[in-house]
Amino acid sequence: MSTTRTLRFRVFRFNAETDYLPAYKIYDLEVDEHELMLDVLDKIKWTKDGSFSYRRSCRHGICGSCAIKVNGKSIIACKDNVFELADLFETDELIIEPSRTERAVKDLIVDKKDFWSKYDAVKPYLVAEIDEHPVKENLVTPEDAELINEADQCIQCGVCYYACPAVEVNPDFIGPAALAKAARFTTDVRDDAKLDRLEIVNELGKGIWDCVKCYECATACPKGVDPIGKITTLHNQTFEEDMAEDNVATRHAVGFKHAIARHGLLDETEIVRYSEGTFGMVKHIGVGLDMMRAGKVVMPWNMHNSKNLDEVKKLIKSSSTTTFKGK
Amino acid sequence: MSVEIRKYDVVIVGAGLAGCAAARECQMAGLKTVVLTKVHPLRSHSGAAQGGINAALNEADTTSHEFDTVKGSDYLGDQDAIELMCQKAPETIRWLEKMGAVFSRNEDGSIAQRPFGGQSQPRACFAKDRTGLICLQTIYEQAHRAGVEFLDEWYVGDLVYDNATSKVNGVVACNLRDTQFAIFNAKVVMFATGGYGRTYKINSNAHANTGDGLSIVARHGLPLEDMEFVQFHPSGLAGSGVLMSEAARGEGGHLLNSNGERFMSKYAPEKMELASRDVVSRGIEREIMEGRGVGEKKDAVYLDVRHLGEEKIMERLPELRDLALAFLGQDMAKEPIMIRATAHYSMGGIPTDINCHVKKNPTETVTGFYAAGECACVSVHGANRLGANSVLEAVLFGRHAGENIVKDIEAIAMVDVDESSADKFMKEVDWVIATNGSERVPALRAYLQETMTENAGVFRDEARLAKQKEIIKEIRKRYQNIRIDDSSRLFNTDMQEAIELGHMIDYAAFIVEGALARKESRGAQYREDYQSRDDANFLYHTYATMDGEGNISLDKGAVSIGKFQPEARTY
Amino acid sequence: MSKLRYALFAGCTPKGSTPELMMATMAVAEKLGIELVELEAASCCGASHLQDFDDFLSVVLNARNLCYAEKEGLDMVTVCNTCQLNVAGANLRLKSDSKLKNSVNEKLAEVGLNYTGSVQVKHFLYAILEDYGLDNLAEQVVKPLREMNIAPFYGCHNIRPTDIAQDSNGGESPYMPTSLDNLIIALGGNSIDYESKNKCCGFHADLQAPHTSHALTGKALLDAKDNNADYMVTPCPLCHLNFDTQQKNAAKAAGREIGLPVLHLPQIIGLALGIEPKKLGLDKHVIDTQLA
Repeated sequence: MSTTRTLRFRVFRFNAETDYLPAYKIYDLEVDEHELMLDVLDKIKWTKDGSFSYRRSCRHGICGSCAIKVNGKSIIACKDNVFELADLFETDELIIEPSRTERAVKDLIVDKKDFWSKYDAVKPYLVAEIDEHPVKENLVTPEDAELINEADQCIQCGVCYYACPAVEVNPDFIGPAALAKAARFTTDVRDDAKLDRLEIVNELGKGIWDCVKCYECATACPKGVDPIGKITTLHNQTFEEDMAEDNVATRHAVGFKHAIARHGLLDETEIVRYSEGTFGMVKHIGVGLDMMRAGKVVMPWNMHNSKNLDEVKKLIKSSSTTTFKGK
Repeated sequence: MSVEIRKYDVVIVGAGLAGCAAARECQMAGLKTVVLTKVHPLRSHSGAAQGGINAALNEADTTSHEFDTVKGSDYLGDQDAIELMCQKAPETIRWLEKMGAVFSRNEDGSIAQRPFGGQSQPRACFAKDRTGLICLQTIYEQAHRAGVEFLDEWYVGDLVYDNATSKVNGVVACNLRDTQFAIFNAKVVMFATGGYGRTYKINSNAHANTGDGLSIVARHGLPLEDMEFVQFHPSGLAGSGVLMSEAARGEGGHLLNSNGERFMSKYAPEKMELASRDVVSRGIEREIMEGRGVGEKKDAVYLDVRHLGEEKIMERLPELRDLALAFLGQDMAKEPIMIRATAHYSMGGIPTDINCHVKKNPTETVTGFYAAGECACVSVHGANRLGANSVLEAVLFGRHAGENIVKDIEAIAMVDVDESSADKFMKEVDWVIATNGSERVPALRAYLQETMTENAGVFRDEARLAKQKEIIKEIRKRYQNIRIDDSSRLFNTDMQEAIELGHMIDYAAFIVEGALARKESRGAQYREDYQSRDDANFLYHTYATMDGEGNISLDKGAVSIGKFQPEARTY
Repeated sequence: MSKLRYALFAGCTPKGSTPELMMATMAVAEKLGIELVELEAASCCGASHLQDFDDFLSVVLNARNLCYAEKEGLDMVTVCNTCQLNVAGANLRLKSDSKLKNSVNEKLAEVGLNYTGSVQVKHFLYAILEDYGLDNLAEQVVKPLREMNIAPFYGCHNIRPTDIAQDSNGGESPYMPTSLDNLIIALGGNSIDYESKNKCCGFHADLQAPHTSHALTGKALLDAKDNNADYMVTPCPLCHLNFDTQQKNAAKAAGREIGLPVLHLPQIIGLALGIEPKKLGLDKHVIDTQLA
């Protein structure tokens, strides 16, 4: 027998033309164990209030229309089971909100202009001379095809984008979805614009170096795209293709190798100096002094090394796969 | 309210595979092209296609692809169009590949192919089980790259059609964001508006698939073709009807009844689970009807793929596994999952000639009007579509439409239209928002869907169809008395659903009238009172037109027969 | 209960800018009778940055770290979320990718090491929770943290990505983590519920995107403060660095005073166990821990 439960839904309602502030309306609904969040939205619209507005289409996780947030969790409504959400949050009351309340236009419908402009920014298409009447396909090994596979599963639902804290505080950050899209093409052996794309995603303040490494995107993605994994791919390709500019971000990544080669362990003052340059240290003086007062700074002469440091040095020599010249 | 008039060479309605493919051709030829879509292009239902796209990549296989398609169509498919499709299929696949589509590959790097129902050879090219998604992404991306203007969340509500000159001069649309109306005045209009599966309760279609394009055309007195042929896909998830691709059976999945029998041995001893879709769907529904169903209500059968092993399931069918988990909580790697037939695909639609020109009657065409994809009836699917031929048709004929527009357009005049062309649609919207009756749209729609499934579904007969005809009349009347909750002009999706229901009622009548008149069983149309095919009396295309009161009259169109003469169809 | 023994992967920060974490960890372990065998040969985990430059090298170095725990025959304990991410992450990748494992072992062979995949890696928080047990811990409490409103801050890398958290940290939910809350309660404290507790502190963009980092740091601190926290506690020294040493910058970015002392996980345990504050390094904070 299928079981049902009565759950309470606190739903974000807003009309940008007439309302100054949103209101949260309460709907109590009986929900079946197989029902998904989209069923709840439909039930509210079809049985409680027809003016309730949200986007949806395919209802089975492939079109990417119905991104929303439930208790702060960024989801597509047609993929998350209602009971599972209630159990996850140990509650009988779920809060339904748009993906980004600040961008709400009507109820759960948000203005996604920001999302699509970033999609556009990475040249989201294969750049190649296209044979309009081919008699033979490009030969691509299954291994090469597999490299693209994860990123190519992306349905542009925006779940990762609206889960990303860096996007939230830095509107210029391209964000996980568009970066994954960029990686989908930079890993495609048929693409001719790898370097162009790497240049776009390398810009400080906008691109891959602004990722905070919180893994919210990978956790939220309903399609297994692992966007942060794709951001790492772009990081790696930046160095492999010698596209890395000599700046604080690239030096910071490279600096770890130097630090480990020297001590095994990280000299924290040195990594800041290495990344920022001696002159760039000036802006850290305040924090540095605070830390020194609290006894948090290890002086260079006190820095100690990992035991068997020669092993580490040997491995760094034998296992390094890239070099950094700086552009 | 003033109405903006925008001028284009080409206006395309719908941004799925067919619309995007056509738009790219037009744009690349330098035509000023716009695509209007009620969802974002990447949300189009083409993206939901799962299992594959057919092509005889080995040229020797082309004739066999033609034959399988003709046989699958139960000899109602037009063989000239089928020939064109099968011959151009390999080029089309390779063109998709060149544009970036990530097909699954063989070890030598060539495009891999899998077996599919009703086919003598493995010829479905695929991208795991998300073939439609990668094709849609690819075509949209390249159309976008070419500079096509896409206007998303615009709802097209009417055609600007001049009956006297048989010329289409544009469309009337409203921006869903603010309900502002605009006329898109153009030399050429193309419809690529998708299918009409949502008129059934159990269906595999997206919410957006309300078939508006068809009734927009029909409301101008233009015909619809073969509307009675609705494909019921054998494997929809129990309850929701969400699709489990034929790939599950293509890869070797079994269908089992409550006795654990592979019951298809009774209905298609040779092809078993891989018989044509209509045959398998009827097998499933027959088992359920005769009490051998599974599940709480015994209204499903089992699809069992466990013997493929978890690795192959994860490699070839990852989306399907996810779907069964999400909707049924069943893991197909560990247990059989529950499925039943689901309304899936519309073989019928807007009649076109082989070059995608919309037809005014069985012999003449309309000027400046094209259609392709599921909304069109060219007809390559006849009475039943083969699995993995729909993605092919949409891409191939979408592109073909674009090529023909480019070829024709110099000879097509730009006829300026005035604001009054928008009156009808604006009145319709205003009426829906303002009318204050007592009928609720969701309830009325549910009534239509439930009765269509019951009376015009997998099994049909005179009595039930006649009853459904009356029900549709009743619903049409009750529709005049609706009321919606949303009086705003900001993303009024309540209004949109009401307008869409109006369209559903119109074309549902075409389905029923066509099914009633066709006193035979052919492909997807199965009449329990006329169980065999009757070529002597019914080997023709239904052409149906609607008058202002919703009454439908029927006409006949010839079927193009080529190298394959009709013969008995067994699997 | 037989004596718990672990190989300790101390990491760089506890031996550098958060010496108080190292002191507190050792003091608490000693008090609870948990033996931590420090892996003195271990090298830096790469802090999720080395992988951006050279992913393979980062895996090789962490495989070497794991070899030393394997040599001791002990499961590994980390005291930093990011160490946890990198070492446990390498462990998971090596266990599930035999091709990678082989090429890594080829390199390790040059220094006479071989990775087998025989040890677990868990953060100290989960060693206490799963192995020592909260009930046992509660019994040891002599100075319950009564009347202390403590905001648990989980830190990303103990709870995300989920595959690593599931493999190593007992499958803590990234959306509804409970371990730290339960620990606070077991110590007699009052755990604060607030939205930011499973969010990001911004540490990893500190140098490259300071505005982003400070904004996130401030947001979390103020969220805790606005929900009446007297203290924040975190199992991650990197979160701690941002919350403690960068608190003034975060306040500037937020345009509001903050003044919230932030403690390390073993510090609150130590306090409840009656260890004197000095031994827990409570004087080694930028934001005065007596503030509350």
